[in-house]
Amino acid sequence: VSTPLLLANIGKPDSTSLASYRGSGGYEGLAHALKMQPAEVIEEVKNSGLRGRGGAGFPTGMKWGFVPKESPKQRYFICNADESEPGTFKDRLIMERDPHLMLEGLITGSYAIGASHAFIYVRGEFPQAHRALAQAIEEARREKLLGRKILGGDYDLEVHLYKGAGAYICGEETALMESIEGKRGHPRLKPPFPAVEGLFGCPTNINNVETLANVPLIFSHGHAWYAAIGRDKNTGPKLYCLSGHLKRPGVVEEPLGVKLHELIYEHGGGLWRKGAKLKAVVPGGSSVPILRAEESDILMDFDSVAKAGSLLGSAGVIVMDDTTCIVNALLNVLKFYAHESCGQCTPCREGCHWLVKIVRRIEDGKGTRADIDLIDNVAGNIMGKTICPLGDAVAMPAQSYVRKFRAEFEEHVKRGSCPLPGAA
Amino acid sequence: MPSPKVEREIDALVKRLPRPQAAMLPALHLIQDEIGHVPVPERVWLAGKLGVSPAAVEAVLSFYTLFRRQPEGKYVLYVCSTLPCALKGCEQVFGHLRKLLGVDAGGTTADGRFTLKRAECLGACDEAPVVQVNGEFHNRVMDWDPDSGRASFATLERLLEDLR
Repeated sequence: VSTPLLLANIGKPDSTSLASYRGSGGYEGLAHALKMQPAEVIEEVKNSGLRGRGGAGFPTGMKWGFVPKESPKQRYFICNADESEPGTFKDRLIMERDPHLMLEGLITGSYAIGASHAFIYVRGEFPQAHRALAQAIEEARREKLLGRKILGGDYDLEVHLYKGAGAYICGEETALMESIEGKRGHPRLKPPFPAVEGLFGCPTNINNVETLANVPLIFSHGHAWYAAIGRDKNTGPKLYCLSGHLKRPGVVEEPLGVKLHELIYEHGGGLWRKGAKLKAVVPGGSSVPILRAEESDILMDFDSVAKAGSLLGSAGVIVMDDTTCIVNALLNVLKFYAHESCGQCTPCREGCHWLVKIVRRIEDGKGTRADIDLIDNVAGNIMGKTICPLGDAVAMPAQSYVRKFRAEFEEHVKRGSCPLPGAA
Repeated sequence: MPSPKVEREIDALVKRLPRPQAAMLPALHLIQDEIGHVPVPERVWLAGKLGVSPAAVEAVLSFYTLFRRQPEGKYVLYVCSTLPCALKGCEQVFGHLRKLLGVDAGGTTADGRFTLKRAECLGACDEAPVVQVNGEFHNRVMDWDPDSGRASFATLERLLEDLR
């Protein structure tokens, strides 16, 4: 077990206060960054190797570098705090318990790309996170960490706190921008990419809460120190969300590249039922391909999980023991995406509901063998054929659950009923 | 119509944000927090404020699940129903609440006190099964012994008692 870096302040009783955050060395990194040129700040983040923690793992410094330096337009910085991927609850912890950590990252990033306005888009279902952030922004403004002439220098930044209203799709970056603009959350066709034409048609950078929470570490300790944590091309500390059939579910901090089995059996305390066996693990939130128990002895970093045929995604680790009906678990996941599909692209809008109907038929014992192949077929016709990745997010579980647990789907068809009724 | 206080807050948002329409979601939240839902006259009023058509307000209102177009109960109970909560017995929680309240998903009790709803993942999977009441989390609302399968709803019943 490593020393917490992202969760260093969170354990303290008044962790949300500026005084507590400063007591843990908070805002020292920002002071360093503001003494550097914006281009040097971007270079430092590039050299740290930090990759985005929202799911895609894209290099953060490179992303900041995409925002044009010479533009007559306003530039915007957005923090994506619309955490909604099933199995994920790390960003809420940071916002509720250590809001200054992400705020410091937000100010640093805004300075780097030359934004004078930043938006934090908080999920509507997180009122406590919203309150903690509102208070942190107010405190930061009073202490000259926000507003005009930050820390006595010549950089100005205004932060707008924005509340979502219940739409998973708004976690997609361009849907989120549409939402801030006061519209339905329909993802935009890319290009143009947000770095060139984002919020209000202006150059925009957008990062996840946990990504921004990593930024202060880079500037208080230097890129070399940061890059020494984790593994090659997968640097830094990471928050893992443990849920499902575990004795001790919760948020765990370990470097990128920790063993999945260490998360499950040590941090998570192992399976919660006596004598139960591990059946399956979803390593990165409900949208990523599922792993069978025998495939789950892997390292948890972007490249290792991809090599194992899944994705690190949001690091939402959902653990299922052998009392779980995989067909019913898939039905649950599909219902989620069918509910959250924005309706813009036909393959996703129609396909999600078809998949729900087919899998429900199998779970109810009324499916045929042809239905099992039909799942794969319909999912294949959604994958890669939509404007945004929600289509892939429904296709990946659909295809992987069927391919990896085909015998269980066949058993439902053969018996004409669910062998594990009432489970999951 | 919204109170002068809410109108002032909406005017301030319109002034502060780069475009008037960007005040749409915050304004709808303000109106709903005051009235409990967003009635038709307020929708038309807001469209005028933001310089958009009433259809543009309607489009937003019907897209986001947290916005309410009709009045609902004083307490809206959202039972999280997505996979991590399902693995920890959310269907039993939902079934028990349905029995206690005598309403199905989307229904409001006759006294107007409770509305029962299902929610998609609420992002508190380590505390499963969870219920949200008017935006506040209530964690592990079912005490469940995984070995014997015995479940107790004492926490859930206490919560309901407190709200009655």
